[in-house]
Amino acid sequence: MKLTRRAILPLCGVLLVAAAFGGLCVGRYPLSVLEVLQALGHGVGLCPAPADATSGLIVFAERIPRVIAAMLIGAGLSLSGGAYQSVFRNPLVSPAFLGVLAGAGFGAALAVVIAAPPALRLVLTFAGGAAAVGLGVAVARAFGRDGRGIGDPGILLLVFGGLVSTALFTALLSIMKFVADPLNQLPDIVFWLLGSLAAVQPHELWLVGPIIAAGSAVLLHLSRYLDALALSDDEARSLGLPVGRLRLAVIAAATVTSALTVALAGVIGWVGLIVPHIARLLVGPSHRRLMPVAACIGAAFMIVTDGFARTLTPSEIPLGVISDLLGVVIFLAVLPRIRRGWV
Amino acid sequence: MSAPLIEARGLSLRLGARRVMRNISLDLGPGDCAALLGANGAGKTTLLRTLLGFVRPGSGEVRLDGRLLEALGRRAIARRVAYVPQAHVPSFPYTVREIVCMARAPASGWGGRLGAADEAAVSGALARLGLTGFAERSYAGLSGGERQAVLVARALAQDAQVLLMDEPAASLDVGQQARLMGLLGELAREGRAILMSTHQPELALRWFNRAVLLHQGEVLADGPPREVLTPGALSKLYAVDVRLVEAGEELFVSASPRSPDE
Repeated sequence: MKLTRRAILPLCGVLLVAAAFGGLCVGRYPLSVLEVLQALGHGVGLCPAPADATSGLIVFAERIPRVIAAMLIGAGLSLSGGAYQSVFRNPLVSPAFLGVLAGAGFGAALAVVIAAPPALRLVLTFAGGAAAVGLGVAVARAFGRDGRGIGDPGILLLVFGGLVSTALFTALLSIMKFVADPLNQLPDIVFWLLGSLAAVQPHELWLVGPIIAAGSAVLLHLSRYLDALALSDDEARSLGLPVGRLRLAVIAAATVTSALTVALAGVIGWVGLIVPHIARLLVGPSHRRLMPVAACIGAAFMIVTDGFARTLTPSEIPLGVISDLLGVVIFLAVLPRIRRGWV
Repeated sequence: MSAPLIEARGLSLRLGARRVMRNISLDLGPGDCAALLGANGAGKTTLLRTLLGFVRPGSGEVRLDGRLLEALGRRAIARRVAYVPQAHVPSFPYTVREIVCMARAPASGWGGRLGAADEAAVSGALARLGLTGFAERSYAGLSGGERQAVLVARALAQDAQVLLMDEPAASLDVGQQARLMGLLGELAREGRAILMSTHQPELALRWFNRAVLLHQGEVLADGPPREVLTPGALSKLYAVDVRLVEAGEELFVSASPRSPDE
């Protein structure tokens, strides 16, 4: 039976709920479905307290924050990737494109080197990502003053700015690794760059999570314009869109969202590249359908990835490693169908 | 005579040392189906982009329905003027319907849903161009002529009365060109104003009721094609020797290079 495009989004929603529930069950201390249901029921006042209070503690103190963080990161990176691919008119673009991840990684490494407290680490990570994008856009603007209007530097110059910015912040990150204490700080930096949800603290989640959620909501709201933005600038303008302002708004929302995912869990690649492709395969290229589906798939993918990271080996495997490995396998599996979809 | 839908007065623009437009004035009213002719670099695309508000002229003004273009927002301009570029292949494999729906994107609600009026405009435009059966097909998989028809359908779905077209016939075969030109004539007869840049004077002679000749950023002539497309004007326009050959009721252009010492 062939699924209609309308059925895909509800199905992805069900998949996400199932993945989230599964994420509450699996881990170093496995919980049965019944135990999780009892813990949840007691938490919201629908059930009496379970005989073993440990399950409630694990579900509420450990697993729910982790699953929420995984959902926010997966959805945020997927939406940012889909948005970047549209505004740069290039299906190979990912959130790493404008140097966001390199800049945020540098900010996090700097925080480790100067032994910054957690709140300052969040700020530095975000500031690094924003600075990288700011530099990329500034370079594009500086070379794009050709009378066509400041604020609309053109795609090619933004690509050029992104390359400059990524190269600079990758070099700065290398300097941080070079000056870091090899016994204490360097392992921290490496672990951070590999990505993990193990160190996510509830207070960080409550601080950063709403901003990632807001950035994701903005991207979902702007998704109705992304099809036209993927055309030439002149066409998009002729359809009545303020192209320069919209493009900057999309880039700003995608930057805030993806930089904050690094602040929460380190650098996680591939998700922002492959999930929009999978969504495109399921519901076609129109962004008003693609973006919500990408958000659901990305969130579910990250929960599943985190589940593997927690349970595959006795010690937790970095999330970035698992997401890269799974991402490569999935990408190779869907690549033939993606290629067929292009012609 | 009805009021012009779009009027340009004294448009001039200099890019660096080069003058790309010099004191261009042009009105387009309902029923005008005008071909914009000129050699490469004569300023055709710059003029179209200025009329669309993409380029701000150094001096002069453009008015839509009597209102200054600069005083109108992008959406207000889009409701009055539609742009049809050369057919192209976008970065993503949109269907024909998705391409035409983009005409209504600025009016879409939360989640990108189109209202009943927008859906009707899209369906009407598809039907008008005979594309209803193609609606769910990939735009990239269509022939050049079919793709061009989709872009015209998108312009119609905008409900704009002025269509500005940048060399839409350049990559079409003879049959596709004839179908497109026939359609433009119909649209003009319904009261729209059309300005289409082209490198083919024969199209202007055969299908258009007006020709605007641009030479080095200036309007060389503007009027009925048979009156303004003279051998002298065409020779000046393209810097070649031009003869007009009559066959039945039609005129054809024969061009030959000038000798180097001319």
